[in-house]
Amino acid sequence: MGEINWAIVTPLLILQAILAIAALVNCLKQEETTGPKWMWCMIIVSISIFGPILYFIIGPKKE
Amino acid sequence: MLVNIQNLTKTYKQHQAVKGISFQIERGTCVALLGPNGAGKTTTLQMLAGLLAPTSGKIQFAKAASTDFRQRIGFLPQHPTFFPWMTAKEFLQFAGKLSQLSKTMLEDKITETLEFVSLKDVRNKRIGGFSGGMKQRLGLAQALLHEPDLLILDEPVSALDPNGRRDVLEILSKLKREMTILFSTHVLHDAEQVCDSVIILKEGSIMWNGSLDSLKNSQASSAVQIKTAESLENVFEDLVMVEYIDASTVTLFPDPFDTNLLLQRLMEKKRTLVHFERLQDSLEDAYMKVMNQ
Amino acid sequence: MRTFITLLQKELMENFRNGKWIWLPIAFMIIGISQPITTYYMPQILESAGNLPEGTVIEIPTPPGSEVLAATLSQFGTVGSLLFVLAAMGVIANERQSRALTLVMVRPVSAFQYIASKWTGQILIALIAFVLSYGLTFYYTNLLFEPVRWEFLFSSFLIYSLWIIFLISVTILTGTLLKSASGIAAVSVLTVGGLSVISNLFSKFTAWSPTNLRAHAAAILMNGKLLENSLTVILTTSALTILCLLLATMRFRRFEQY
Repeated sequence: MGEINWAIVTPLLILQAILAIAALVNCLKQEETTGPKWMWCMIIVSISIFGPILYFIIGPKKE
Repeated sequence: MLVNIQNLTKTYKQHQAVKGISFQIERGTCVALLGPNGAGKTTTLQMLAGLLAPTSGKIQFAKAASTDFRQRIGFLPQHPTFFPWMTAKEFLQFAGKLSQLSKTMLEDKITETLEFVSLKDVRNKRIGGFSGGMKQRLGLAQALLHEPDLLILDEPVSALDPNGRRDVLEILSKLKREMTILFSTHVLHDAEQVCDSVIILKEGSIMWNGSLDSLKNSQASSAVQIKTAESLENVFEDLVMVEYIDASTVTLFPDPFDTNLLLQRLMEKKRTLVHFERLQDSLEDAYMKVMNQ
Repeated sequence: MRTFITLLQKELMENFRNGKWIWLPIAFMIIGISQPITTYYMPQILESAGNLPEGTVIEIPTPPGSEVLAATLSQFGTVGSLLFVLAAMGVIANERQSRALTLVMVRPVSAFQYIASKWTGQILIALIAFVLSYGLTFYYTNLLFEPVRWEFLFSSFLIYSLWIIFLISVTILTGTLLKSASGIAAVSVLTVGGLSVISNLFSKFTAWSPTNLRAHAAAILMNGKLLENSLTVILTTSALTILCLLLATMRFRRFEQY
């Protein structure tokens, strides 16, 4: 693979990082999640983009 | 008169939960809606609060300009649910604005109400972390906030532990002086502690409507105790049901109730009356009798 | 009006606290800029992935920026639409199920005020997510490809926004018909997806279908003008949107119990 222009790709990585961190923080602050919390942390960290989105949609327990 | 309810009926698919009940609530009174679970208490209160459309019947508020009288009602559901992400103060701000309280009044009212229900210290905590008792008191706070004409409370104490129960009952006793209160309960004792009048509901119909005193008296005249100097054997047997306490003391259950007849018999049989007493039913007894009608 | 504003403020605050204001815009930005970036690096990606014989020269013509942006819109049309539906599916059902709705409806709040606050709240988030993402993608596209004209970008944005508004209106309406969030999402997606398939199969008779908006938005980007029947599509979409709102209000008013 040739040279990658990091100026182009870095914002994409930063956005992904923000998304994952926001999901992680939200998950840890949550009193209860649907399913075990550690499982959600794993999903958020290991599956990029879709992990955090999946968490935000079904992770937090509704009353 | 504050509210006039006429022929209020609620029918679910097969089952008639409330069967054409009519009653009135006077301004400044405290009325308990008493009855076992499934009697139609919650259904009635929800219709009054505008949360449930009646199948038929009328609810009229004194001097109401429109049919939407929610502005004049404060309602506490049996299990109040809030937005768990809000703080207690934020929720009251939200509720107050929806009830059209002015901005300047709102802050003062919130402080005052939170103090009244002893939630001032946790006003900036998220409701999600509140205990059942705290939620119940916050529920009371939101019902009081806009100074409604009528406060409707659905089983306000039944889900609470003894401490929470005492707190809420105390709050209600204080409120009674300022507001018209209608609250439901299945515990006679709770009704007795706060209210002076009751509406007893059973299977969707009103069994009794009146003051607690009159309830007690209404059923009281069923027994008489008589004590004489001589033995009472074979004095009343042919006349009424007799229960012997000892040879010269009996409890009588005359039906129809006629004490003159009993005294007459005593004179005929030449007994010397020592003690005569009409036995009062306890409130419990009276309640049970009404319920078993 | 004050009631509506109060309800709307609550919506915005709720979505701020539950993170929707973060995840929806960021997810959209990622979906958006991935398109120009992968297109730009396509030759390298193919080279490293494919088992091509040594010395093969891949010649992929660099597409014009408008084509890249149109491809982004098409991404929004599938994954993006799904995200919008998923984000909006629970807004009414959750409050009904938790009974938090009771303490709202004991106050003088009308069904329309309630529905309108939900609708406006969701649309605000969705459109802001779309604006941020589309703007950033536009910036990238101009950087890496032949620039796209401003006016074209702006008109396509307007047309596409209409599609998003329609999508959310359908989801809000479904939200008053069903009680489970997943059911709401499924029915909304099937409805819109079904409409989309029918419009493609019988394009002659379905020139009015809101699903055509996506093609119209892409056409503006590429050629600077709308396709035929554009006015019909815009009018029917607006009418259907209003219809959804009215039906949702009627349906909400008929709830047996709040």
